[in-house]
Amino acid sequence: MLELRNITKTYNPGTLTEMCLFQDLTMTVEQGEFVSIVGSNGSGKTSLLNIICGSIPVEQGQVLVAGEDITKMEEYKRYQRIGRVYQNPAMGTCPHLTLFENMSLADHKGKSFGLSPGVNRHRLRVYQEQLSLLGLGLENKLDVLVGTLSGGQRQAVALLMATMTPLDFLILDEHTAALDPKTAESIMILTDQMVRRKKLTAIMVTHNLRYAVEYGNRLVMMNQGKIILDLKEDEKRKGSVEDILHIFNEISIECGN
Amino acid sequence: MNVLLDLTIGILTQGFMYALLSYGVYITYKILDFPDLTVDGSFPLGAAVTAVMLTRGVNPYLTLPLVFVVGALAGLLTGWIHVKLGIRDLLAGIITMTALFSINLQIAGSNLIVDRSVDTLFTAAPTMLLLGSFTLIQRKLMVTFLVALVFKILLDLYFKTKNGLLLRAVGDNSVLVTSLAKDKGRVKIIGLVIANALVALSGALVCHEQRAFSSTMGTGQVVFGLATVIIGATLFKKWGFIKGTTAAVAGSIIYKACIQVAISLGLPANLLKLITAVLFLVILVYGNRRKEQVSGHA
Ligand SMILES: Nc1ncnc2c1ncn2[C@@H]1O[C@H](COP(=O)(O)OP(=O)(O)OP(=O)(O)O)[C@@H](O)[C@H]1O
Ligand SMILES: [Mg+2]
Repeated sequence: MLELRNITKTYNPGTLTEMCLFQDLTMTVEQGEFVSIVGSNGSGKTSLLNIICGSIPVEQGQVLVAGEDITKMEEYKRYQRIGRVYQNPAMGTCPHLTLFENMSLADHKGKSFGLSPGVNRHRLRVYQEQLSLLGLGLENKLDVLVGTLSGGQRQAVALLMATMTPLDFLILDEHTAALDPKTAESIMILTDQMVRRKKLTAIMVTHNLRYAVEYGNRLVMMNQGKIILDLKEDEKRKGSVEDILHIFNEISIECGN
Repeated sequence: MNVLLDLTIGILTQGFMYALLSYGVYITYKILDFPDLTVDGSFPLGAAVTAVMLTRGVNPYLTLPLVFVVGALAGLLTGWIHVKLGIRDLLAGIITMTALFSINLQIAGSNLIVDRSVDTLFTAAPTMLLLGSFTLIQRKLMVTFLVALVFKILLDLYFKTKNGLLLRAVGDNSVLVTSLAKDKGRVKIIGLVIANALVALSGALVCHEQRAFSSTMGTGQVVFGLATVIIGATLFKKWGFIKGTTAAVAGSIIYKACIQVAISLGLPANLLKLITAVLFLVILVYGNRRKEQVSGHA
């Protein structure tokens, strides 16, 4: 379980551009939830994920995972139990390493990187099996430099790599946004399968309202650093894309967007 | 004919000695994407420590591991300044380099000449036992070749380990290293430590060969290192199977050969750094062009 307690976040404090984004924000994500977060540009979605992962500090409040306060824990240590996929497909893989090397890195996440061989030929079969689940023919491209793969292929690999080791959370920040509609759809389906198969707790930011409605079991809408709509399982199922879009538009008009 | 042969041997020896410096720059510049100016200080540091130790009668072979450790400390300092104090990469290197200028003079006292009576790597008993039938310049070639080869092999092996893979990953995409729950700052420091240990070792070899340390012998070494790495990478780009370390050795030899030819043709030594700078500019511009062409396709 993840808890954000009374989070206050101010960007550029003490300067002309000071901006208080979150004031007293509180949010809880239960084990096994798949939360979709929507909201207009600048509403604080990425900032929220960054606070969970420790990429940015907070002024006040606490971040707790399973009751343990991790507010002061360094970012890299949190990734021991967090997997993250970014909007930019380039962020989740190493372009100048081969697919095999990339998979080996992800496979070894959380352990110590000593002087034993970097890649293990015995794991080749396992990687091939996992890659074949993507249905992109990547299982035959393990010796190819990842930089030569397409954006969609790289994002699929990034998703696979982020979920290779056991996780407390999967964090997805508009991870289909840079892809064409068809590839985006297949990555979304893959994500859903992955979350179900591994019973992951996932938090997904998306601008695609249909994805937000169709996938996951909880929907959160943010605006100007506040959570303005939070639909749990049953309520979410009743809602349609039109309903959500309607609420979304109303807020935008209120705020003069 | 003999003169030409001697000249070739001389060039190759230079190339092998400085190849260690090229490996170091290859690690920081190519792998870590870190323009490390520490080199201008850690190279003469290796020479200073060597000159003092040889003069004090330390076993010439023992100077190498000791210099390796001292050079590693120089890299550690730059890494610490950059990672822990948050100073930009270029500036962190400049700070260490500047500090080392004084430290080197402090270690050596002043410019030092190692007396003819003192044994070096190339004249010590074990070397003579194995290679005694060869002339001094032939022995120099063989010993420096051996050192360059051993470190090339060690590095190539290291790059294939998990730790080496992580090092390559951090220069390629440091975000991913963080995602792997690894401290990217620490990985960078490891790279800087190894690189400067190699650079200092290069300085040590040069000191053994010249029997001298001078406080200014570091000037321009980073540019030399960058040039060799870029020459190597540009020349061998087409052959993907050529390793970066091999390209660095080749770059080092080619560079030293060019300089030697220029001097033989009567180029005044005073103009050497100017020519180096111009050459480096040409290489960089050429490299940029190629990069643009490549990204233009994407
Ligand atoms: N590093 C930063 N420094 C200053 N302000 C920032 C910084 N990062 C974000 N902000 C501000 O915080 C607000 C929220 O940004 P955030 O990136 O969290 O929005 P978002 O909901 O992810 O938007 P988008 O849908 O465009 O990705 C914006 O007004 C932005 O200008
Ligand atoms: Mg965002």
